[in-house]
Amino acid sequence: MIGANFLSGAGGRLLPPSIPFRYFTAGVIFYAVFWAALFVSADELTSYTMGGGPILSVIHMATLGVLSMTVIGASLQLLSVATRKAFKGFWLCRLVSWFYIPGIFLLTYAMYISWYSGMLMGAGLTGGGLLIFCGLIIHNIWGVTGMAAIMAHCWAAMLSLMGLLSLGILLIVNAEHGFMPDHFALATSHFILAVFGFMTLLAMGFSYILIPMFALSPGPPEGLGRWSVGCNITGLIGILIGVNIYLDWLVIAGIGVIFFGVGLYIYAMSRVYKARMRKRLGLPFILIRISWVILLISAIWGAVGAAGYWPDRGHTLFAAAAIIGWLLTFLMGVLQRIIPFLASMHSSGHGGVPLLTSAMADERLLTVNVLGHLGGLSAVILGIMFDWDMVIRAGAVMGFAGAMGLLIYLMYIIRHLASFRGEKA
Amino acid sequence: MAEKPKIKQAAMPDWLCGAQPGQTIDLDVRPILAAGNDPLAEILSQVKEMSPETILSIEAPFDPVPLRRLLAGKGYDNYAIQRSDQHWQIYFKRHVGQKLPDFPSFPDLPDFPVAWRDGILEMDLRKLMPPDPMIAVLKMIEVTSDYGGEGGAFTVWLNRDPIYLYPELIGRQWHAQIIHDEDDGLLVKIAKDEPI
Repeated sequence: MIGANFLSGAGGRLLPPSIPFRYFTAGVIFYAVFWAALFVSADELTSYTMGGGPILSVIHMATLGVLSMTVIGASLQLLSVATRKAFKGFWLCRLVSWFYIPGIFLLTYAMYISWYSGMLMGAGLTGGGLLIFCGLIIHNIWGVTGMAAIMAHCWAAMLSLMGLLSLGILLIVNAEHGFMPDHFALATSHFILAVFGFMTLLAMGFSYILIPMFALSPGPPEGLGRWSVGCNITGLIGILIGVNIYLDWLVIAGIGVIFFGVGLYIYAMSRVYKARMRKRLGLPFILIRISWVILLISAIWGAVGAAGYWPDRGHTLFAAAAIIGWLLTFLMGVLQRIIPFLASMHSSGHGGVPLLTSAMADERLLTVNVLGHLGGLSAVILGIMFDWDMVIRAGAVMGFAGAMGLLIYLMYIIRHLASFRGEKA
Repeated sequence: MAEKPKIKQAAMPDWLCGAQPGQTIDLDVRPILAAGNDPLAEILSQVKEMSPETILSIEAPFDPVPLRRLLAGKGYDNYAIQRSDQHWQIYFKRHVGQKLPDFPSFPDLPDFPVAWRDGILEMDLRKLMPPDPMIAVLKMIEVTSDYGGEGGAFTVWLNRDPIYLYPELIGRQWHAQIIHDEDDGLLVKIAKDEPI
């Protein structure tokens, strides 16, 4: 029964594995390159204040190269299942990667060496890929009824994406021609829209499906998600206005509202966690739970900064906590669950029964990833706090080792998938 | 015979399609609800007096999921038709055959309709948001030795292909078979693997 019907219909809603896995692979490669670049540029990290150069490149390797890349792969796969609307044109899903992946390589390389034309071309390619992705997502969620909280997260994330793209290109042009009166406010708005608008909102929105699914738990009450996203959007708007018209109180109020929204999100997730049927959640949930704690700390630290109480390097600490501590840690946890699951679904063994991923790759590699990531995160935070370049470098080495663990694991999985498809053909 | 539904939904059961004139008792609870009263006592009183052949037709301004669940647990098959936005008609008939146990309650999940179809439990999970349908199935598996027919089998109505459920079923030595896949949803039979 399982053999013939196991994937009956599911195949139609699962994308061909080459689509999500190309984004996951590129994301993990950028994850390794990010740590390597951080190692090389560690001495510039603590003195960085939103200008061009290697650290700008390192930040974009993490945000565009790892986070957005993985989010694209996961969104294309998850949304088509959640909304019951399969993406009809797979070529469009592939087209995103043809623009986006080389675009980020060019953009981050050009940022690293401060090459203006390269940045502009890279941003154009990256932006083109993101716009196609945005169009695909909007087409998919258009008219979807139900899942109001998740859809609200998706809509707000897509609007943030459009905003941050426009600001990103404007920032590059302004860096060369300097026609905007306040580059810093623009860069801050771009950072906020990217980290807390686009990526955080998508991460939170998908959490309402993914976390209960991983933990085997009933979903949290819809109202919690609605209030949370409502607070987060309101807070974001407040912060963006406050930053651009120099109203500190509005920025602090915005952060306060976001803090409330984040609190509701964490409360919803803790309810899911308590009601779970799967008692042993393993390594991925260690990462996911740590990321939630750091998300809360980031919000508090943001408010401290807006009130003017950040010490030296407070802004660097904030960016590291938000990008590496919250988003990258959360994403690694999610990736550690999604990669084996999709691989298993796409490689039905004898009689159509999905193979256990332990039969495809050595799962100790995932432990290397967790230890490397958490070690890297801790050392980088410590290095920023005390302005110790060597500790940041040590963290980058640990992070790189963790990234290689995940990359090797992924390669084993892909090799298995390829050989399975070869046999099937 | 009962009027065919206006909104496309699950196929009408044989006991309702073949109903004879006079076999149905009608109870419109909308005026009772409009007056601010609870019609449950009236309904249970009618149910108590029903013979096994009688079909009880209840008209209500909403889908009375808790009532359907209650009577399903007492061994009554049910079938609901949405006539308009605020007009539902639900038919109940005593299930003929084995005595059926009370339906299990899953307090941490939203209510969903349940029914007995030919001795097999059927859960309509189409109004639940993901991943609740998957959780309902897994919770049902945990208690199914008390409720399932045909060696534990039960059926579920779903909106989505339950691709994330499949690996969980494998781990529990269960499997899924899609037995109906149309615009109105998927009817999936969930059953234990047969011993090799």
